[in-house]
Amino acid sequence: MKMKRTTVVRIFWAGAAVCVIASVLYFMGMIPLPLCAALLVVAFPVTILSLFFCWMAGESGGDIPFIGY
Amino acid sequence: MIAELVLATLFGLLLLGIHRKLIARIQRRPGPPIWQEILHMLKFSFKTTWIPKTASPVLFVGVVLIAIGIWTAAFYVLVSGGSLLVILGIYMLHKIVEHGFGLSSGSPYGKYGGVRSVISAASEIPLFVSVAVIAVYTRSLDLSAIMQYQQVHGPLLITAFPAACAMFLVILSKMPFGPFSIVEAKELVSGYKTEHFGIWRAGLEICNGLKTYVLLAVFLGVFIGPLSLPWLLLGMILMIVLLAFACAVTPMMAPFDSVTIQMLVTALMLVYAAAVLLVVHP
Repeated sequence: MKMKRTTVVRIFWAGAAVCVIASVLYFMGMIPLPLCAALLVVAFPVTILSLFFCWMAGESGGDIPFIGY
Repeated sequence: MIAELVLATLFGLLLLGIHRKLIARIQRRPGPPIWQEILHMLKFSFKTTWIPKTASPVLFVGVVLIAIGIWTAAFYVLVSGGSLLVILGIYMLHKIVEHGFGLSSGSPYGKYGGVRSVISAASEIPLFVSVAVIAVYTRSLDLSAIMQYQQVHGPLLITAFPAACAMFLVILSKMPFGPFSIVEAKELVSGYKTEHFGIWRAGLEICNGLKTYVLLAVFLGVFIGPLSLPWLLLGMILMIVLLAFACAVTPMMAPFDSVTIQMLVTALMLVYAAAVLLVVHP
């Protein structure tokens, strides 16, 4: 199983955008807390793991070799 | 909301660092700096990451996402003053997640760690009784209602002290290096998380930070009442000091002994709950 760095970066930005937009909309009173929480429950773990994938991926290599032995 | 979530995670990791430092100082060792758990999480996030050939890839990765997700949900239940039963449900779900961690890797160490997490579910039974006693007193299981009750009638820590002790025991069973930490015993290498390395372990560290924050905040909310943020953080630090003392001066028990003690506590709590029921609602 291999994943391209560009794909991971896109997943990270999408997840981060969901987290920030949900938080902003909640503060503006446009969405209730349960909806904001539901969005963050899904988006936060994905954002965190994709962030970690992003910064461990080298610029030179094409893929992240995250299968070893 | 995302800012609170990130800060709670970092503070939870800091609490785990204080816990580790205090254990070391009590045992007359220098110990790591208190921000070690945050560095630990960052260190793992930079490590080479893999999925073992023996693992079920979907479960192996998915269980990390679920672990962070369920404690994110618990955090928002806490923030919204939601039901204590949901937090209890998430706590139980965490056992299943630990089991999933162990089974997904295909490693025998991970599997034994997963099996032990199921055995250690005995620690949850005092939690049931503790929650039942709280319900008898407050006639509600909503965190906000429980806190309002304490504003009028005083902290449940005094009126339901045995229930607080039982819940403290439950939190103790979730702390690393504790007497009931049988899922992370050294004979199992790193237990259920043996094969989860690199970013998977970093994700698990985030889950642990959030879990620590939520469990301590729930304890303080349920047994002390509503607290302003500085008092809540101070209360958590005091709690972690108590937990560190308990962990530092007690050896890790064998699985059989751990379950036996937890069942004994459950029996005592059942007697106490029956007495409370007779006195409060005769």
